[in-house]
Amino acid sequence: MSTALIQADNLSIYYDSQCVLNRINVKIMPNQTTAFMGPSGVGKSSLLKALSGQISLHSGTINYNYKDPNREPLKTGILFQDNALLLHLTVFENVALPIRYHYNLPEKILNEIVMMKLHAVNLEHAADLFPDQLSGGMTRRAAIARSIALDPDLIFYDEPFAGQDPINAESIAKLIKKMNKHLDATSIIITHEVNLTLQLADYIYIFDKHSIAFQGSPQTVSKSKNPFVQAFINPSLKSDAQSYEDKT
Amino acid sequence: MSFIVLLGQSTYNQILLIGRITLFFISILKSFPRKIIETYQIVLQMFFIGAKTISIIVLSAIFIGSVLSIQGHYILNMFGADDQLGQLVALSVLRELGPVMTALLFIGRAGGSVTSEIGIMRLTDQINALKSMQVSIQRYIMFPRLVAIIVSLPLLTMLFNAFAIIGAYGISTVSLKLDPGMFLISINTYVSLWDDVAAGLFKTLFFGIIIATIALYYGINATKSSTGVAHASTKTVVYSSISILLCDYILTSMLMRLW
Repeated sequence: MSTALIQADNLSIYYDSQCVLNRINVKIMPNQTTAFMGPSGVGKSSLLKALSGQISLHSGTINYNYKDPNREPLKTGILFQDNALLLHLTVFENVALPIRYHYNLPEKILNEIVMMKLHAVNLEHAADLFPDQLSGGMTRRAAIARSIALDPDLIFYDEPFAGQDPINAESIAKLIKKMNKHLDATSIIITHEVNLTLQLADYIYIFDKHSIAFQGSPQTVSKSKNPFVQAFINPSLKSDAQSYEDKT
Repeated sequence: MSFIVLLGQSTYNQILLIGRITLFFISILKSFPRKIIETYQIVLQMFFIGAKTISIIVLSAIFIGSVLSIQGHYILNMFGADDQLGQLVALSVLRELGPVMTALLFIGRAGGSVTSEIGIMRLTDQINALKSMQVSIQRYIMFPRLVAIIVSLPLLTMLFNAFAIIGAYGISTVSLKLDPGMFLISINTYVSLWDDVAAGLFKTLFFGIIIATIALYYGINATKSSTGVAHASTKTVVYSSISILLCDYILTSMLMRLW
């Protein structure tokens, strides 16, 4: 059995005195797509921020098991919920920025690498456009291209399908799958989009009330007895969730 | 009693704030660029912050010089000393008006915009995105803007000085019908390069440090909301302006004794 790439134990996050996540345990297996699902405000994004080192923990530990025996830090890429493209740079320059910053490459080689990344997300034609000239789907794909610019080992996707129409959402899901395959990367997805995630993920965590309500493979989620989980994956059972909410 | 407590609390908070801003300035100074892309940002920011402010500075300088010329002529004429107008305009501009007006105009044009730009970058997660790419915020964002402001301000002040005197010269010769030669001779006779021009420019170095540090501090600490960014810009403009005027008083007092 392979070792987890990231292992978080007894992890708690508080904002001031408000509990966001309460003593949860999470394992991220290498080369897998792990999805954190749940309604808004249950702490999914905070968990992603904690795992990517953007916020500090109240308690608990996060261990990163490095691929490299010399313990070279994990290369990570993050797709932010709002894409977070630098607005004063073109799509090309956005993707080129991390490469320019970390490697002193000749312009010709840099150009080839960036165009390769843009080709992967079908955006070669938009290389010279600025973020405010792109559609929602194109902006998301440009942000994905930037997140994979440094060939990361680990990619965090924060709500990759939010605000996308079904066709765009599906193409982004395919893109994520393609990236994982080609980059041999590990992916963590934060989402409340159920259908696409169940097709895409290898392992899912469903959060409710700041703790984990379900964890397992997408194939086993339908067998969960938890009424919240059932209601979450099958919106037609929403009334059950409501009665569950009322009871608790 | 409560007034004294409030006053003490407020003074304590202001001292803390000054301490934090000073430490922030030192931390930026320590993050000297190491990569070409970071150094290139200095040039880029000098264009955005400095070069794009030139038109405002030049236009304001011409009008301020013109007004100074009209007002100066009105006063000097009472004493029959209107041949000293050149000296009056040049000394006023070079010693005080040039550095202070340029700094105040610069705060409005560039100080507020630097704060808003960084505040919006924070609001829209662009700062987090840069951090996620292991890009140093201090070296890539802060240091280039700090240097750009410190370098641009003296250069803009020189431009302001030149155009204010040109404006005054134009009005005094064309509208006030004064002798152009007398105007220039009085400047040449009474204006000292070291005491007047250099002393004025020396002050702008401090003004630049103050404006840059305050603008960057409030930008990076802006609350993540649209009103937060607006408040941060307002704070930059208000605190920078007050600090500039206070610093000008202190520096002028010191320079008058030492120079």
